[in-house]
Amino acid sequence: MEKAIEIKNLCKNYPSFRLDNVSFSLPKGYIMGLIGANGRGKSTSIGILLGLVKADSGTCLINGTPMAEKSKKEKEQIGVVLDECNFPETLNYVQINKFMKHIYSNWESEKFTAMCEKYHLPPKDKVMKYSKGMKMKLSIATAMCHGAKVLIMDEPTGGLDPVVRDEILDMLLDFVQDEENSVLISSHIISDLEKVCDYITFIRDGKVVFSDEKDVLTQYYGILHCTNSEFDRIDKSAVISARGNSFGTDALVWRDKVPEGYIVDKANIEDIMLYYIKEDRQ
Amino acid sequence: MKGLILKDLFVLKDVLRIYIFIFAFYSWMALAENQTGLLLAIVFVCSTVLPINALAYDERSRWDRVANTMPVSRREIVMAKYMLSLILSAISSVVAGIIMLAGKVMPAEETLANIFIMLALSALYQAVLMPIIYKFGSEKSRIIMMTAILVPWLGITAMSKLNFIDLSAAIDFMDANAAKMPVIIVAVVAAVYVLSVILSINIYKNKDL
Repeated sequence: MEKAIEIKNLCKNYPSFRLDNVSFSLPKGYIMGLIGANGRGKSTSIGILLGLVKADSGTCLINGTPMAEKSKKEKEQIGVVLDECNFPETLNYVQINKFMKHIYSNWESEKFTAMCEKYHLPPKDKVMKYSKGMKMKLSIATAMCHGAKVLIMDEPTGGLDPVVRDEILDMLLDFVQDEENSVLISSHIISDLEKVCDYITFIRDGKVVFSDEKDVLTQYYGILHCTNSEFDRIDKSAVISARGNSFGTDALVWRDKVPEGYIVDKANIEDIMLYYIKEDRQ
Repeated sequence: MKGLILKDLFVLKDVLRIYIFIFAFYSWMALAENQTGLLLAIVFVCSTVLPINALAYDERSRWDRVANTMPVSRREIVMAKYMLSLILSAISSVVAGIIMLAGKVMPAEETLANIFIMLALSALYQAVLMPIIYKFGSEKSRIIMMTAILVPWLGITAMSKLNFIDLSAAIDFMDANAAKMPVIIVAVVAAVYVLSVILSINIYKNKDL
């Protein structure tokens, strides 16, 4: 399967944090969700993938080539939404539409105006007057209007109301109907990712915990409910993280390692992430 | 590059309006009162302060992060800022020149000489400041730049007053080579400017955004 995004052995050291051998890949035609707690490597990985930050080692490829080696034509095929709206505050969308025509050779001016109108962005208001959600809508409209084949989105649904979020998710699903198109999206709103993603990558403390098909993940992991004495009898290699009180214990477990006779529910992505993160905090 | 320059002009639109107003006011001063100093100063301000303002706006919104995902190279992003400076310098000096020549506020030669010196000074200022901004950001650069101007100036003034150095030799050299001075100035400023562009591009290429 041809890869839209391929990250291999990515390392980057900061004084207070490091990305440690991050690897994952996304086949063309699919949507991958990137999850993890704040400040734990998602945005840094995206920054390196986009060539904004230099890695200490490792490789990042988008459609087979690193960002830094891409021709202009190839760069046009990458649509980006970053965690904040990066347009200077004194601009309005009409101006943005005017200068983007000269930056992207295939800028879709009418589509951009239509999207901004649909999102109720006031044409004369400067970006500084926009709410967080409006800024996000502006970034999304920009990313969607130059014939991108790969969308890379860092927290695109942050600050948006559920209706608009749903519309955007539908738009992404629509986008990958074309098998040449792919999406990498990071979000804290796991329910959004569960809705649209085919693959999930979980980054925790700069390391990839897992990167796999969503359906496979929910098969591997389970939530165990049992009494404390039952829990004590279980082989602890089956347990990833547990929380208990005097009434009993709930734990995130590897399903195949739990003996028969125990009650193991299906774990969703949110459960998996929460158990891992709570384990860290303990 | 055209798109990037256009974006800067849009970003500066409100400030530009104010400058046009100031320009008009100082032009009137130059014509009615023969006060050309302020009109010349505004040429300097237009060509130095405005591009730096544009950089400060970019910095505040972290524009460079998104610009670098667009089909433009880092080199082009830096070059666009220098082009913007040159365009603003050219427009403001041509307008000021026309006003001063048309109003006959001073002999034509003197007008041209004044504008020429202003342009050379502002190009030099841009050339020194831009790499510093790319390296340290616009906030810190203001302080660095003020120190960079004040310290040598105070130093030279103090030393010449105390007779440690003799500035008259420099003045004599300029008098003796008066005819060649414009060429020397153009050559020096152009060399510094080109060096500055190269330096800024190199700093910017290695920057994490």
